[in-house]
Amino acid sequence: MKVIDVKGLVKKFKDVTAVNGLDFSVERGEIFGLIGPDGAGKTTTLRILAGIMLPGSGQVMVLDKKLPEAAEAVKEKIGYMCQRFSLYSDLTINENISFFADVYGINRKTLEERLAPLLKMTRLEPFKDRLAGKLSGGMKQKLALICTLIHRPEILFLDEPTTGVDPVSRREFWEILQGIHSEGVTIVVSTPYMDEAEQCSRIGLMFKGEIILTDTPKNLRRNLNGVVVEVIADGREQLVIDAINKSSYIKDWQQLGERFHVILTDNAAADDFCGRICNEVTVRRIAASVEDVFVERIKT
Amino acid sequence: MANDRGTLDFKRIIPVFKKEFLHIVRDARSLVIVLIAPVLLLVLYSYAVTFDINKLDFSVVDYDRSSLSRLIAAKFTSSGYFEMYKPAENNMAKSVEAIRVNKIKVIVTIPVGLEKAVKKNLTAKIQVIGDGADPTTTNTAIGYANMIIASVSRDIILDEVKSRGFNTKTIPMVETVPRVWYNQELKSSNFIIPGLIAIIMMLIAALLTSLTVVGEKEKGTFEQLISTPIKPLELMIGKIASYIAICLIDVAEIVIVGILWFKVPFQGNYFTLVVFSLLFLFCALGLGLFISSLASTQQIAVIATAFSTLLPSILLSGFMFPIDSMPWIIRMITYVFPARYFITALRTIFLKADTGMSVLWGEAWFLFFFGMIFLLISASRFRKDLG
Repeated sequence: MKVIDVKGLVKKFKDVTAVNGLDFSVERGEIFGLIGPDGAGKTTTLRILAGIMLPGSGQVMVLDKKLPEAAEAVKEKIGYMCQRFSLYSDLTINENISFFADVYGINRKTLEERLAPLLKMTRLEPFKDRLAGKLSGGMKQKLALICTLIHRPEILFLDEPTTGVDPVSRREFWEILQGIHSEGVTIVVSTPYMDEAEQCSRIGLMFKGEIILTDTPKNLRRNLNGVVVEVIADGREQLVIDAINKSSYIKDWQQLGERFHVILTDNAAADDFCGRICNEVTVRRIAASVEDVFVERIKT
Repeated sequence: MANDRGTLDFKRIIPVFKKEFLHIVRDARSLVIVLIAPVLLLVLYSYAVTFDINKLDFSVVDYDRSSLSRLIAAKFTSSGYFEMYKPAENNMAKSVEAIRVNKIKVIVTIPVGLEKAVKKNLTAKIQVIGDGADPTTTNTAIGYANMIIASVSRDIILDEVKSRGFNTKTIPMVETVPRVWYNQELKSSNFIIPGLIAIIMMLIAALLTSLTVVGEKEKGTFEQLISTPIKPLELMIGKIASYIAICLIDVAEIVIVGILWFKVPFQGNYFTLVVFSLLFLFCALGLGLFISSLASTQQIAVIATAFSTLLPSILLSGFMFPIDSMPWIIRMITYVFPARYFITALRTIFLKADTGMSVLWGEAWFLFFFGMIFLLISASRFRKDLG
């Protein structure tokens, strides 16, 4: 069952086209990841879906309601967490949560019942009387998450929730999201981190206002046109680059510090390439990552 | 979006009220300013703004040097309204210079032969020169001068009549017996302080709310707020309600200072005062909210608020200049400024006993009407989307 259905969505600002003809849908119970670099149009898409930005043209249905006409009805049933910290810094954790709970019309008793497990899961319980402005980046994100979850939304929209959060908190945050997901909440999350794609049930690769691919992370990797080889240069980067430049069967490559990811047309090509340089540097076949797919797609 | 302004849910006004109240209380520095500023402003301005003239510097240039001319000079200084500016006394050149450099406002010139003329039963003339660059003071000063000279003149007439053998008690004469009601001594502080209360509260109230909506936008909390089902009107009412609570404390403070420190008599009843304070604050806070919903930055909001509250409240409210003397088009404009109604109401409540709502219902309706307009416009201007 589709909870989000977008057809031909276009959103233009004065002279920039932020979103250029989006078509995608999200099924109930999915974690749908919008993945792409900065400026791909992720934030605009999420804002439109959350009913806080007017779509330019195209059709947007959320929970079988048409946006923007039914925006206020949709807002009752969704949670939206924006990219920038948007809670009240001069209010404590408790006060922020109470404010949003009251706005959604949740009574004290229900709030207490729902809050206890949320505070436990996020480990914010000991800090509940601390001002939100005095929290660390990761704690702020967890607090924002609680505030958007307190009314038990059917869909949760998260705009880059892990950007600017330390790696440990990032992992913890995803664990919490998986917990929420297991309770049946549909999650739409945007991220510039390709490695977070693996956490999603389905992802849409976004680039320059368009979704260039939607699939499960597994299929996406499998459908990469080519074979990926990782080269560990160990100080001999120039040698690797020369080898790449001399080969005709290389589709694409990128340098990641000391390492290279090289995408080759097929297995034979990979064997040949490995044979050429394996005496000088370490080479191994690896499974394609979402990032490899993304890089390959935006270059072809 | 038509359906987002449906029925009001009062349950959602309360959290907004609470959160706004917390914002105010948490910001200790602003809170101190908000609570202390009105009293400071009242004390400062009520001493500065006064229409009473006393001890006005002047000089007498006495060319006559007679007992009569000395008597007249003495009457001036003993009246309490004038004080001799010694360096220019009896020196025309120095007096002229003194008036040019704003040392004095008035020169009284007594010509040679004054006493002689009077003794010959002729009309003698005394020249009073005033500084037209400051008409308000000069007008009043000339009024006092006239009064002093008229009383001297009357004494002269009576003496003459007496010397001709008439009984001075039976001279035909018409006299004014002025009796000023509600402010017997015509103390200007009695009507300036109620006016100042309105002006100060107008500024403070509008400033407070003018920052709230645009402030949420600048801090980014706006985006989270509009993703909730809260209705703009609920938000606006919640914000106004919390600031009314703070501003009522301010009103109470300055009313008490006005009564106890400046000894302004309070003749009316406190119920009417509270009703009018609520209506006026509703209107002034609504104006601030309206500005806030239009402004793109907090800076613009502050400037716009200062412009639209301070000068109109002073000049177009009847605080300084009577509205009845203004051309009709300006009179129409004065109706828009809430301070006008509050000033009328405060002066009435303070100075006239036994006046309640029955006398002031017109002002009350106007305040309510404009408050509602500001509130509704701000709510409809508050868009729950980013465009």
